[in-house]
Amino acid sequence: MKEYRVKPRDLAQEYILSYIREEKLQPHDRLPSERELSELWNMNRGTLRSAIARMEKDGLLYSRHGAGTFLAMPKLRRNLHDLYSFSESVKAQERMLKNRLLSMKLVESSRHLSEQFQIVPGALLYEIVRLRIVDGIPLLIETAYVPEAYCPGLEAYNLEEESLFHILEHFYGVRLKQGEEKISITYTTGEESEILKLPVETPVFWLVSRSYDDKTNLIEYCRTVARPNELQLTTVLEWREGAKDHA
Amino acid sequence: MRKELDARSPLYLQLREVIRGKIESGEYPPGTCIPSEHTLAETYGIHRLSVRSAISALIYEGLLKSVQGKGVFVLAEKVERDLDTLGGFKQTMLERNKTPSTRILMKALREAGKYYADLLGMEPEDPLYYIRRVCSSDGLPMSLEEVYIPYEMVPNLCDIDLGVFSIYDVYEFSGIHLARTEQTLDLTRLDAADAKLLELEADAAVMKFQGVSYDQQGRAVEFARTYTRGDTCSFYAHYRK
Repeated sequence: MKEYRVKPRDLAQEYILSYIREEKLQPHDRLPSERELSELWNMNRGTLRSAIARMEKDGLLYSRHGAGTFLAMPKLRRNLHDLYSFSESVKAQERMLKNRLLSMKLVESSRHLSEQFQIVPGALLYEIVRLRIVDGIPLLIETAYVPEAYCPGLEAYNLEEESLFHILEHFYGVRLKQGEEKISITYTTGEESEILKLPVETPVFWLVSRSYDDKTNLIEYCRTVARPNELQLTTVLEWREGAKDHA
Repeated sequence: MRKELDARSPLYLQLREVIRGKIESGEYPPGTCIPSEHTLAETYGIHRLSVRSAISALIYEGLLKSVQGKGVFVLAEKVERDLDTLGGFKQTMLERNKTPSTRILMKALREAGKYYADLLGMEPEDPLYYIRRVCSSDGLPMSLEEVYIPYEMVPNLCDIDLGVFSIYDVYEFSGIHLARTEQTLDLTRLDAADAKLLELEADAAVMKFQGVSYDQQGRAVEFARTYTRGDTCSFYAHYRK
């Protein structure tokens, strides 16, 4: 079997990643200069430059003009199997979370939302638009819908301080049990670009989640637009017996 | 709070979402043309440029397709894959009545090197399989995959035709039972060369999955990095309390 010669740029990236791990570099630590690294590994400077550029694009490194290249903060991780504790998980990653309520109002259910919730078109829904800011970066815009029937008077609660699920459980006796989230890509509108401080039509995560109670009623339908450079989604896949059937 | 039946906040009345809603509810069924830019601009009282930007977002997303001189059409549903049982491309496509195919671009041995040695629990000088392939569904490229497997795991991999057997078949032959895959998902952009393999334009946004799979004994069996088109594929994950 033939021996594969790893592409120089890929190899440079592997070296840099190993260097970061072995030297235990911390976020905002400076990487040695291109010249130093090229001498250390006997590698072409252009190759290193292109590996670093690639890693900057992926949000692993950042450069400051005249000061060098630095290790970026790790992306915020969001576990797709545990959507109930976003704020705890942000805290566990030693990040600062702030929620800003952009708007909250009662709207008439559209045809699509009526089908989702199995309610008559025109029934009233709370529409709650919140911005989640992590370490000062506007990270996610969440637009949540909950039928008014489940939580009349919801506007009395502080949705910037308390989680919607917590309020539903503790003050309205709604038992949230499970849900699903669809993950895809969309491109920002003018409004979203302004809020997330991104150029118009930037590709972003597009997440649509449905959360159900213990009687499998749909309680919350939520659409999220998320900045891609600061967010990483994580999952754990458990292979069942006879995984071959799924291969 | 005021009851706003005609909620005119720009966030709510984003045309992108209005059109998406009509596609989702079947008002604009697959294969039909949506109203013209001009009509939409008049109907919603929005500038034509905003209409164009909403439509182009949905074209990139893979929900709409513009056909020169004919209009903008609604496309069929994307392929949806379940993240909880994800692992095999072939089976997922078969379940969806699609014909899967893979094109092997590279299947070779390399030295693991420090980075993959750490990741897969081997020595840097140990041999490592590197497989690079394009997976297609009904002839349409869906994902570009790079798989790294320690040679020791499946020494006979070099003799097996991966055009015929899936990598999971090969694990089965070798008595390896996958137990767990820890995956991360990022959005990234593809280089021109990689984008071309997926029939995308340079710098196209794709979903990048990365993860190590472990077997029942806790041994690292493979590291895989997969770039998947966002305009033809979406993913589902389930959560529980």
